[in-house]
Amino acid sequence: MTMRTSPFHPKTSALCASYAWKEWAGYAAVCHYMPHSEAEVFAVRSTAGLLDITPLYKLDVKGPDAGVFLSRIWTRDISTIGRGRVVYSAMCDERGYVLDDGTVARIGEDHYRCTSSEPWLAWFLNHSRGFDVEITDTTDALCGLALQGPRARAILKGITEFDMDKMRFFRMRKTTVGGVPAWVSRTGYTGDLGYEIFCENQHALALYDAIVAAGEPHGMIPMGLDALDVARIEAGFVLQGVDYISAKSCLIDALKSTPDDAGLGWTVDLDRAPFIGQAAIRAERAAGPVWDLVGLELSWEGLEALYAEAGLPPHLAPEACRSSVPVYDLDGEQVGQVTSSVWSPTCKRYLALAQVRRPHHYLGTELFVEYTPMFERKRVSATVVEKPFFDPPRKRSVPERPAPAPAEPAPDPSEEVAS
Amino acid sequence: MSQAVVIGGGPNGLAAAIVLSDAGHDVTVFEARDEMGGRCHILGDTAGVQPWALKALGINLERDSAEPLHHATSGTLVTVDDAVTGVAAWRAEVARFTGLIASLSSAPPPDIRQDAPMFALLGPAFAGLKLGRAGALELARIGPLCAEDWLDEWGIPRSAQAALCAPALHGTWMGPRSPTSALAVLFHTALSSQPIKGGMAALLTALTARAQALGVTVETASKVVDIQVTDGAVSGVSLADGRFVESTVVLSTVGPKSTLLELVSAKSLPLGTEAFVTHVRTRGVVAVMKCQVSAPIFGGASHVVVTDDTMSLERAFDDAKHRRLPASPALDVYQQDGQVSVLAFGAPFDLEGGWTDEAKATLKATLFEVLSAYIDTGLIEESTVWTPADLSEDFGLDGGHLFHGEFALDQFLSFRPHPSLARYQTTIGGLFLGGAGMHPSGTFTLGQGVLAAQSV
Amino acid sequence: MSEKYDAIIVGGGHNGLVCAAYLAKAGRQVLVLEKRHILGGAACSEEIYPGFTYSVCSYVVSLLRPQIIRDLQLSRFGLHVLPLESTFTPYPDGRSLMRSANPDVTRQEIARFSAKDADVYPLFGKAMGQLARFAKPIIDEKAPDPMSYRPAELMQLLKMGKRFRDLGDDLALLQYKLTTMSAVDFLSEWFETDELIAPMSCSGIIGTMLGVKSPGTAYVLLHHYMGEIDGSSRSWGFARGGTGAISMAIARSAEHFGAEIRTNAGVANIKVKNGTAQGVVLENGDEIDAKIVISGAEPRLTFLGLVGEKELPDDFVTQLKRYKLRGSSGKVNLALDRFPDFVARPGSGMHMRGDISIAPNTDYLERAYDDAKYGDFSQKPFMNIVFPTLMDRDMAPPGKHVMSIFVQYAPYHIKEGPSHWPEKREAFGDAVIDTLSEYCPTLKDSILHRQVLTPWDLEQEFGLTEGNIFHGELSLEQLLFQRPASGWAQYKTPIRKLWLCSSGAHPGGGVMGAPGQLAAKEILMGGAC
Repeated sequence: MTMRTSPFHPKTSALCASYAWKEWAGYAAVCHYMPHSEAEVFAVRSTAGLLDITPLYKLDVKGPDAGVFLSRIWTRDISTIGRGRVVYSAMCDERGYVLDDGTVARIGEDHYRCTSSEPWLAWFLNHSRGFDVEITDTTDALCGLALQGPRARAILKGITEFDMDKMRFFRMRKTTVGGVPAWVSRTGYTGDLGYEIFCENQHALALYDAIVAAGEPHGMIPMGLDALDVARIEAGFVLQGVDYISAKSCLIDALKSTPDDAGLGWTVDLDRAPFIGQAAIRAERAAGPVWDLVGLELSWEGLEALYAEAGLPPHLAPEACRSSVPVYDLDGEQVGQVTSSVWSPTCKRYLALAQVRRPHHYLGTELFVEYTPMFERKRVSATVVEKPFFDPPRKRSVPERPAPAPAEPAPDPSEEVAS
Repeated sequence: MSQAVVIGGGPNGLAAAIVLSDAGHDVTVFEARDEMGGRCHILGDTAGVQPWALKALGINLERDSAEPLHHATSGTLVTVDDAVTGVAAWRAEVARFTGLIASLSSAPPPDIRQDAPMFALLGPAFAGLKLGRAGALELARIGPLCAEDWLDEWGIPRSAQAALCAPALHGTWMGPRSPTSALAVLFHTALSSQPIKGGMAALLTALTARAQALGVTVETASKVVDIQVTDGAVSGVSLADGRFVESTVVLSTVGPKSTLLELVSAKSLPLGTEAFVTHVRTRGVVAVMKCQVSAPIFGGASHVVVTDDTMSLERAFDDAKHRRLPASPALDVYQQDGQVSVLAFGAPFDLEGGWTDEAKATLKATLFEVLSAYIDTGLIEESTVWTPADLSEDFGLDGGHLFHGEFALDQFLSFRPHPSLARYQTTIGGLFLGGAGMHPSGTFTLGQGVLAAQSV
Repeated sequence: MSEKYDAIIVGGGHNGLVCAAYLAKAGRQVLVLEKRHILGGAACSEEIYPGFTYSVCSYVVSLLRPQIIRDLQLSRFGLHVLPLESTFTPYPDGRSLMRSANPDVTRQEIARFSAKDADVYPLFGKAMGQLARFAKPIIDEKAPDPMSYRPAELMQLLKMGKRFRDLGDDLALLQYKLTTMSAVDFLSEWFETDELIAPMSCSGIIGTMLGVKSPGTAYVLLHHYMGEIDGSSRSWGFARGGTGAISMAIARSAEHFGAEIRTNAGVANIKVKNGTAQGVVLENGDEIDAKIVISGAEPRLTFLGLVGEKELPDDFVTQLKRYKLRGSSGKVNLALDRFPDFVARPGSGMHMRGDISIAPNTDYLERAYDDAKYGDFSQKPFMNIVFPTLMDRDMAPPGKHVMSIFVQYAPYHIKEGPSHWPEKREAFGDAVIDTLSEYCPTLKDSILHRQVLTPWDLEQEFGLTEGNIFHGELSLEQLLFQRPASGWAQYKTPIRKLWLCSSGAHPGGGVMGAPGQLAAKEILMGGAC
């Protein structure tokens, strides 16, 4: 039995020199194209990276009640979003535990498209009784690419019908890209300027070729999941299954997270028509949430010292780590766990996402994180800092004037590029 | 004085209206059909009507002295009485449990949810203790048995078994060889005593009179099409003719499924409520024929079961199970003053190909054929047949089911129709359920409407 | 001349052997007496046709208790269980469904029938896994006695009650529904595809005389989720060397600990004097005495056959006579000279390396049951098939295969009377092969040898009364404290010094070894020998 492949596979597999693949939602996905992911991380922050996001689960909801229906499902009030807008939201079960997080785009008057990390067709169908909606799982019908990085707009500008200068942050448009009909949204998982482009499977190869042709002069390179992991941690984005676990997959309540526990409390539009989990979230907020998901910065001096103790130079590879390690307060009591961490090449800091018990979540709180430089477990001090760690203005900005044509040579990816 | 609406003018609707009115409410009953009475017009078994229910309604009705059970089998008419092997001993065994079953059936079922106070279970625990440990264990042993195995243990011949089982199976989706059918037979038998003098007609007359005396308003040909919910509580009902009637108390005696899935709009149903109601099983397997006879049939017996033995009863169930027209349905015939009600077991609601006119005609012909072995069918005048599809259409019975929901081990007592609804209150303020789809179940008791109204 | 042992175990089936091993390990002098020429009872492997080894009756293992494997060091004595990773269902119209341990593959397979069911499938598995965690301890503890006031018993009952309440409302209700509903009704609350519900529901009727739409068949679905192999949760496994290898490993372990095992040594009756068991009398007339006698045989056979009605109290005899046996299954073992392709999905790939069900829809299964209800074997039977040779090449010569076919329904009580089964044996076998040929047309031509076992054969040869493979139906009124009879469910019997360690005792049938182990535990704890 062979793993499933996306329609872009002929292109991506030809480019994957490292042969490093992994499984994502039943599809084969590239971890890194180059022998190491470093170059891809730099590309995202200096030129652009192109990522195959076909494995995202997609649900299309159509009908006069689509907005109202989706408002019951998601923690954001979907019924108020206008055409061409995209929102990021969480989705909870009746007891207020997060099932998933994802985006909801209003593609047309009565047509919405949701993306998520897990499949939810049955969940949607079971809650749609009485609503005039048509729900279709379009995961396998549509393929997608994410184009992320400072040159992303410039790359697309030449090949899209719609004037990309006019596309604002978290907006979307049905247009053509390289002649191919596609939905383009200014969204992404890297916390940078970027776009996600979806099209029907039969256009996949044409779309890929068009973007590559336009991107090459700008120094765009294909990018794998490892680089994405680094970028998203820099952006402070949580990943379901890593930073919190979908209540669907948890055998016990202790493993589940409410939106506030998972740092997704800001997505909850609480006081409105009933939505799934509303009563539970209200009760939790009245009693006080237990956890929070915070950003930590591990002390560079501390890390240096640990390595020096062992007689080693510090060795921090810019690869995201998903091993969960304990977080302690200054008295040595465990108050949480790091879920994702990385030495950020962009920020030159050691960053981590961690679930910690309140009240240890306040900015500036000093904590300890377990760190194992040699085989012994040590602790290094860490501070709760603002998220996102990396938030360039270009992520949201719209140009005052047209962007420059790609006349300059492609920058050397190993050079640091100031944001 | 608050305005209360009762949906459904059948026996439970009238009972609920009486109790509510007696308690001081200003009650209006809305009945979709042109006449009040609902299932009183098609059922015939009044032996299960509970004395405590009549007392709570302030109704006094004489009972007929118990008649032996008549059984038309293999061409002859016999009686299933204590003279038949094993029957007396078995009836004594049923009597052993009657106290417990009757007491459970005369009160709301215990609340078994996790956050329910533990003392909710004390009542039934007490009643169980009166049985003694041996009795309780024996009841636990009998429950899962199939009726045939249980009655075999008492040595009752298979043909007599069919007569004892058939009336109990109408409300189930089981045959005599189905596990837990013994429990259905036990409950039905334990709850049945003597029939009411004058039968269903007398019962209906008494209910109507009492309701009238208490000032209950009844409106026929008034179908409720919507229950309005505002801010989590009922605010009134809409009728088919467009009228809106304000009310903060609505007691529905139509099925839980119809009430919560059709009358209450999905958008105002509290999140999570509806999921389990869609699973309530309501597979009707009984068709009804009502007719007049110009002269008494079956020697005037008020109740006759027409089926050969447990095997034929099982085959009738198999026909229903496989969605076929019954080749030889088991019949429960009730006779009262020239009116005859025939309940034909074996006719599935979801007949393969649907209940076309042809299918209905075939069914009717089959009924006549079965009866012709025992009676002169020429005596039958003016007969009307309701297939399960007709029962659904005409009487608003979900799945054409005569009791709005199957009797099963997971759909009886505190589980009927679901632990969170079993005590008649829904999570919508002011909305109560009081039809046959609620506790008590097992036979026609008239208890649901009373208990539901008492819980308001 | 009679020898004296601490314990004699009547019957060398897997439970008897487990009991013997535990007692021997505790230092007792134990003698196991088996009437057949080989050990294992219905868990045996035999070379019926030269070169081919059949797992004659039982052919898969799931719930063999891990603590028994550890305590008796069974891996050391040759036990090697391979997980069956998939379950395959072909349909007459050429479609097929494979469900495997890989969730993504399973999802894609189910999605071809229903995208919604594909989503729900892992959720169902998770809910059942949670219920299984609640139910599992029941298998490893003796059944509590609700008639007793002893603190230990009451504590056990209270613990069970607390575990039930700790499930929470939703799961507790689900557990109750699982226990009371039919397999099809229960599954229909989750799934919409009949082609999926059908193969899932079959596990509810294995070894019972009930249909998939009969109440009480849902709870057996839990078995699928309680399985453990090598400490991790898997459904079903296959023992290298066939099921007999399991029994032989247990036997070797028992002998290692000092037990004596004799085959071709059938017991004619159990000697009882003044209500106390003294020993046994063999079929050849030899008498052997022991401090206690333990029966690994089916209860009715044990008490009414080997002990005799007159030695037993009346109400016990009544309960025994009511004890439902009613075998409903048969077995067909085939030696094949090549692999028979299933047209729905040819080849002997991953999809064949698990079990294969002929269960195309629920009506089919229910009609198979109806045939049996009215006294005949199913014309179109339900079948569960394994090709052990795909996992274990030693079971047949190279390139050749063994096909192990479990069949339902084959009712012991056919309308002609059970003793007429031999006359119908070949017709029964033909019905099986004819039905299978619709799915693999090359089957008939590849058959080198066919062994057909009817319920009559199971009774005559293996001592399975009425051909019931579990020593008594696993129906609710014959489980836990009512197995085999109310008041006698803790391995003791009304005859002093006579114990029961077979599948007719809690927790029942299947190759678990639990009755054998729990009986040994009771015996040792009570100082009986």
